[in-house]
Amino acid sequence: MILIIITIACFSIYMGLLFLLALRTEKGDPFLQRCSTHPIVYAAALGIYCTTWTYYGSVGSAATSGLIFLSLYIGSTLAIFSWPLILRKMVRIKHEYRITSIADFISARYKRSESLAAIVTFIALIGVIPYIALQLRATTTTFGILSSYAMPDAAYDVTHYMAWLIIGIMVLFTILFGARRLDPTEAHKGMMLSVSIQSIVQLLALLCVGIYVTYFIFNGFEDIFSKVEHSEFSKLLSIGGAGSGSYMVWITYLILSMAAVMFLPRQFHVAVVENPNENHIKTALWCFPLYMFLINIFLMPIAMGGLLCGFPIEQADSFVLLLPLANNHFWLALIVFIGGISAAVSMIMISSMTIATMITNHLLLPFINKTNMFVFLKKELLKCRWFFIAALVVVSYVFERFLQASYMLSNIGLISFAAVLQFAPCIIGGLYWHGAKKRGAIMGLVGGFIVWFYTLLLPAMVKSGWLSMSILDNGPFGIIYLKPESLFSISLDNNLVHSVFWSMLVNVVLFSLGSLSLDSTEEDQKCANNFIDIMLQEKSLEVPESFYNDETININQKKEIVIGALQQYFSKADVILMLDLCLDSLNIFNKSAISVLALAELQNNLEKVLTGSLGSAAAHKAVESMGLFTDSESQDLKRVYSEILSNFRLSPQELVNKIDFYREKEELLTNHSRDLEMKIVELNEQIKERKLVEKALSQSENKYKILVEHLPQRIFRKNKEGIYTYCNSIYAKDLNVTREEIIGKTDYDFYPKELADKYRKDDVRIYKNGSAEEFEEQYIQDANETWVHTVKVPIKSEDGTSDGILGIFWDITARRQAAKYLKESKEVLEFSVRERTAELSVANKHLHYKITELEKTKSELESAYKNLKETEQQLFQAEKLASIGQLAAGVAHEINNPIGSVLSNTNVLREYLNTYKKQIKMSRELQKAVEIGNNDEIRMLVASIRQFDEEENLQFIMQDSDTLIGEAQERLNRVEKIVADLSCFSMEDEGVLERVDPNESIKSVLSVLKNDLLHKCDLIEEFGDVPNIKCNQQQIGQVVTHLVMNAVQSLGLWGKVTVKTSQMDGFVLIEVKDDGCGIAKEALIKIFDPFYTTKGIGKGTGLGLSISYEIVKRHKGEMLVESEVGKGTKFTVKLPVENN
Amino acid sequence: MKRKEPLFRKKSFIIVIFFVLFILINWPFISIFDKGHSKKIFYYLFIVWGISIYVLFLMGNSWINYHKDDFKKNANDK
Repeated sequence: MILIIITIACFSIYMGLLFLLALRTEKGDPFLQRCSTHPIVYAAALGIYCTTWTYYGSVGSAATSGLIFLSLYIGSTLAIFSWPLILRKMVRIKHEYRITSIADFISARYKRSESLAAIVTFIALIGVIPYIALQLRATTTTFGILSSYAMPDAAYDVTHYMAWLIIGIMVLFTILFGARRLDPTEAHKGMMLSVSIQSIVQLLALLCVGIYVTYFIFNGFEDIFSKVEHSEFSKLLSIGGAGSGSYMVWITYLILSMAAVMFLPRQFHVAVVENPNENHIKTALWCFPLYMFLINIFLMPIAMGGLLCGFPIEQADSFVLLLPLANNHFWLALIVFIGGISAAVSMIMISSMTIATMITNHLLLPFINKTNMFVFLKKELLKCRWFFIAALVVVSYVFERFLQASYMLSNIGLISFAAVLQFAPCIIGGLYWHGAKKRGAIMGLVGGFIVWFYTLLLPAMVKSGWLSMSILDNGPFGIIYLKPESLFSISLDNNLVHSVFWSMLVNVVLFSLGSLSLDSTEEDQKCANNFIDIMLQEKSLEVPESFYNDETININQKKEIVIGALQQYFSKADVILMLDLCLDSLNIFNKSAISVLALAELQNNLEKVLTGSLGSAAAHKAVESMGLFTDSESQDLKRVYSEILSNFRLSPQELVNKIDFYREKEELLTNHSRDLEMKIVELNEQIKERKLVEKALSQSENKYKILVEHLPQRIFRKNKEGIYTYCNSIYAKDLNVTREEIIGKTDYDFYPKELADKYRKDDVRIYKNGSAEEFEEQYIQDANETWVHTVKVPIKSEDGTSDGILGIFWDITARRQAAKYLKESKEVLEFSVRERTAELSVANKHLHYKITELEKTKSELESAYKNLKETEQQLFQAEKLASIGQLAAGVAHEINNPIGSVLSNTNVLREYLNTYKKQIKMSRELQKAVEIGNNDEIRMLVASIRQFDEEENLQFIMQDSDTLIGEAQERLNRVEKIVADLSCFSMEDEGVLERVDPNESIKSVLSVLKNDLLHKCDLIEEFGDVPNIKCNQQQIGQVVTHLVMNAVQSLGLWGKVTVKTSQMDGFVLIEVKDDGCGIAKEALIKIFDPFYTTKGIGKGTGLGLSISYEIVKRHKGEMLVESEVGKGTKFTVKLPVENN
Repeated sequence: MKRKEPLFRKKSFIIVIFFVLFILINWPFISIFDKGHSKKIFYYLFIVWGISIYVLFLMGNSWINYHKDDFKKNANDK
C-alpha cells in the first residue's frame, strides 16, 4: 500500500511543480519568461510528437514487428528538411493572419471557408478522441501494473480513481494555462514551458530504463544483439520481416510520419501557433530530431531484452515498466511511470486545447450564426472552450472504458496519422500552387476522408467487433470490388498501405480536379498570393498621400456600427478598447472624419484582431456582415483603387503582389526601425555612460597624477628592456637630474654597476614570474647609501604578458635605524627585566613572609577587637548602671523628704487619733448614761467632754488632720511619680524604636534629675513645638541625662543650665547649654573619644559622651558641640523626625 | 567578386540532400543491410539518422547567416 501512496504522492508533487512553474511563468517571472521563449524550450515542446504510443507502444511494436517503428521517427526527421521552406512559411503566415489552428490555417488559405474549417475540425475530432483514449489507457494500464506490484493481493483497484485524478488535473491545467484568454494566438508560455519539461522528463525516464536494461541487465548492445541473433527472436532484426511488403509499409510509415510531424493538430499548434520567433526553427531543426533519436535508441534493446527475459510478447507494451519491476527496482519503475504520465499529459493538454478552440471557432460559432440558436453563447466563447476541453477528455476516457482492448484502440495511432495525411495536399498545394482553390480543397478533403474512413476506420470497427465481418470478406452488399481492404480487388498486403494509397489518390485527384475545374476569382488569387508569396521581397509601392486627404466619412457613425456588430461577441468595453487600438494604430484616433482608404484599412485591422479570437473565417464573416461601407463608399473605394492602379500602370495581379510585398516590407522596416530606435537609445545611453566614464577617468587620472607627483615615495616605470618611461619629480630630484633626463635611460646610467645589476636582475625575475614583489634594498641618495622599501609590479599587456615594470619605493633608513636602536634597547630592557625579576622574586618571598605575619597580627587584632567590643559593652552597661545609680541617688533624696514629711504627719495623726479615741470613749459613756437616764452622770460627762474639747482643741485637730492627710497624699503622689519615671528610665533596653514626644521624654528625665539640680543650678526649660520622633526613648533619656549632668558638673558653685527643644529642616534639636567653664579647643576634638575625660581620676569613666554620640549616630542623628573656655558649652542633638 | 553562397543555404541543395537521405533509408539501399536478421540494419538506420541530424544542424547554422543577410539586404534597399 505504501508504494501506491508513494506513487500517487510523486505524481501529485510532479504535477504540482509543473503547475507552479506554469503559474510563475504566466505571472511574469523574468527568468521563466526568458526560459519559455528559449529556442530549446520550443524544440523540446515539439517532443509532444512522442506520446505514450512511442513510450510504451513502440516497444510493443519493436517486439512484434522489428525495426519498422523507426520509420515513424526517421520519416519525421526527413520531413524536417522541409521546415526552412514550409514551416517557416507557415509561421510567417500565422504571424500575418493570426492563425489559431490547422483548421483556421486551411480555411484562411481558401477564402476563409467556414465549411472547409468545419471539415478539418471534424476530421481532427474524429482522429483525436481515440488518440486521447489511447493515452488514458496507457496511463491507467501502467498504474495498474504498478499497483499490482505494490499490492499483489489487493481486494480493490484504485486505477479508476487515479484516472479521474489525472483527468481532473489535466482539465484544470489546460483551462488555466491553455484557455485562460479568448485569443488563442497569444503565447501560452506557462503551458509551453510545462510541455517542454514533460518532454525532457519523458526522454530522461526512457534513457534511464534503456541504460538499465542495456548495461545492467545485459552487457550492452552487442550482448543483446548477439543473444537475439541466436534466438527465436532474430527476425526482429529486420524491417518488419521478410518480403517487399514490409518495405511498402516502411515507405507508407515514412510518408505518414512526414505529414504527422507537421499537420497533427497538436504538432501544428506547438510548431506554428505557439512559435514565438521564426528563428527558433533553426534550433528545432536539429534539436527535435536529436530528441527523437535519443528516445528511440534504447527502444529496440528494451523490446529484445523483455523477450530474452522471458516476458510474454502480449505484454510487450509494458516491457518498459515490467523489466525494472521484475528486478525489484520500484524507484526506476516509478520514474518510468512519471515519464509515461508526462508523455500522456502533455499530448492530452495540447490536443484538447487545440481541438476545443477549433470546435468553438469552426463548428459552434458558424452553427450559431446560421441557425441563430444559442446566440447568447457568442459572448461565452471562452467558457464554451473550457467546456469542450473538459468534455473532450471525459468523452475520450469513456471511449477508452468502452473499447478496452479493441483492435481500433491499439491501432489508432496509425489510423490518426492516416487521417492527418488528408490535410497534406490542401496545405502543401495551398502553400505552393496558385491554382489551388476552395472547391478542390473541400473535394479532396472530403473524398480522402471518406476513403480513409471506408478503408481504414471501418475495418478497424469491424475488427473491434462493432460490425459484421462480412463487409470485409464480401464487400458491402456483396460487391467484391468494394471490399474495404481491397478496393477494386487491389490488395496491398497491409491495410494501412492500402488505405493511404487509395485515400491519397482520391484526395489528390479530387483536389486537383476541383481546383482546375474553376477559373480563379480575384479573391482566390488574393488568398493564394497572400500565402504563396508571403516570403517574397520586391520593390516598394507607395500610395500617394492625396488619396488619404479626402476625409469625408464620419468616423463616429462607423464606430457605432462596429460596436453594435461586435457586441454579440464581446462586452461593449472590450469592443471599444479593440476599436480604439485599431484607430490608434492607423493614426486616426482623434479624427472626426476619415478617407475611404483609411476606412478600408480600419476594416482590415479589425478583421486581423478578430481573427485571433474567432478564427479567420468567422472574423471575416463578422466584418463583412457589419456593413461598414455604404454603397457610395464602396463605389468610392473602387474608384480610388482604380485610380491607384492606373497611377502605377500595373495589372491587378501586379498590384496585389506589390501590395503584399509592401506590407511585408512595411513590417520588416517597422521591425527594423524599432530595432534601430532601440539601438539608438542604447547607443545614446552607451555614449552618455562612456562620457561619464571618460570624465571620471580623466578626473581620476588628474588626481592620480597630482597624487603621484606629490607623494614622498619615489615612483618609476620601466619597459621590458629596463629603460625608464616615467618617474615622478622626487625620484629625479634624488638623482640630481630632471625627469626628462631619466626617461630613455637605464639604471646603469645612474647607479654603480653592482647596484644596477641587482636592480636589473630583480626586474627580469618579476617579468618572468608575472607577480608583484616587495623587498628592502640599498639605494644611493645624494651620494649617501640609504635603505629603501621597494614594491615592483609587472605591467601586463592585453595578451597577458609582462611588458614593463611599475615601481615604488620609500626611504626606510630611519626606520631601520630605529629598528636597530629598538633591538638594542630591547636587549637592555630584557637584561633589566631579568635583573628586576630576580629582585622581585626575593621581594616577593619577603612580602610573602610579611603577609603571613600580618595575617597573624590581623588575627590577634581581631581577637583583641572582639575583647574590646565585649569590654566596651560591659563599660557601656557599667556607665548605664552608673547613670542609674546617679539617678537613684537623686531619687532616694527626692523620695526621702516626702516620706519623712509623711512619717511626721502620720505621727501627728496618730496623736490626733488617740484624742479621738478618748472623746469617743467619753461619748459612749454619755450614751450609756442617757440610756440609763442618770442625769447627774450625764451632766458630769457633758462637763467632762466640754472640758476635754477645750483642753485638746478638737476643732484644730480636726482641721489639722485634713491638712496632714492632704500633705501626706501629695507627698506620696510625688513619690509615685518619681518611681514611675525611674522605672521608665531604668527599663531594659530592647532597642525598639517607637514614636514618642521628645518634650515628654526630656521632662521625664529632668523630673528625675530635678532634685539633684535644685541646689546646683538654675534649670531653664524651653520646650518648643516639636513633632513626635521615632526613637528609643530610654537611650535618648540617657543622652539627655549625660548632657545635663555634664553641664551641671561644668558649673562652678552655681550656674544656669538651659534645656531647649526646637525643630529645623526635618530634625528635632535638643540643646543643652550651660555657662560653665567651657572646653578647651584641643580637648574639644577628643570629647567624643571613648575614655577621654577632663574630670579627675575616678570621677568619670570617659564614656558618657562617646556613648551618647554613638546613640545619636544610631538614630541617624548628629551631635554638635560649641564651647568657649570661660563662657560655657552648648551641645546640640539633631534627631531626624522620620527615622526608618 | 561576389561571395559564393554557402551550400546549405541553397534550396536546391537541401532538396538534393533530402532525396539522397530518403533513398538511403528506402529500398533498395536498406535491403542491403536488411539481410539474415543481423544487427547491421539497426546500426545502419541509426547511422543514417545521425547523419541526417548532423546535416540538419549544419542547415540550422547556415540559416542564421541567411536570415541576417536577408535583413541587411532589406535595410540596404531602404
